[in-house]
Amino acid sequence: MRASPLGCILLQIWWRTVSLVSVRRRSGAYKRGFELLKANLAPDQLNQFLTYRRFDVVGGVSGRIYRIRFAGAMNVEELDEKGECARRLCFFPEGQLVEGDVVLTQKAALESFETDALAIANKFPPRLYRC
Amino acid sequence: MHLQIVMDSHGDTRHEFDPADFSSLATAEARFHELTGKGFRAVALGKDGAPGELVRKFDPKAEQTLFIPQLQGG
Repeated sequence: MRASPLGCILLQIWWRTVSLVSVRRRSGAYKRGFELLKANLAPDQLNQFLTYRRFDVVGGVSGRIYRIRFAGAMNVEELDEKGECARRLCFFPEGQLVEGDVVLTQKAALESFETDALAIANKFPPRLYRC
Repeated sequence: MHLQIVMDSHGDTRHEFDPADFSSLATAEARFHELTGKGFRAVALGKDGAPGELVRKFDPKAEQTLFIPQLQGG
């Protein structure tokens, strides 16, 4: 189901408010990771991130589009030509990194060393729901 | 000043260095080799969120270098 223009605007306002409130309550490390991530997103990626808590990345080698969500495991989706999820990828940096750092690592990996990242990542089917 | 950003459990640790200062540059280069020797990948960050570039040799011209711990599949 596609939201109306007014619905989209309300959704954007809602997510941005939720983002600001939730970050304010988190630890210093979480905030640092969040700020580092925001500082290293292109303007359109930042807009997507602040609105939907996810953004799209172009693979540095293949040119494929990946969608990275700011949420838990298997948060990277490889999109097909229709913009639908072709498969899910799971990879993350070693160590106890905060969410912002994990997501920034995934962005940098897909843009800068995509082949290595794909070799390391575990791949999962898209399942029944859409990306 | 140029910046090396090392991701860690504190969010990140930042090290500034002056590329015009020999001592500062040597320290930054030593840090680069130490971290990449431990398995970190170095990515020279692009401006305004543009895609970065994987750096295999120390580049004193890189304004911001991000050090990423080894990746693992989940």
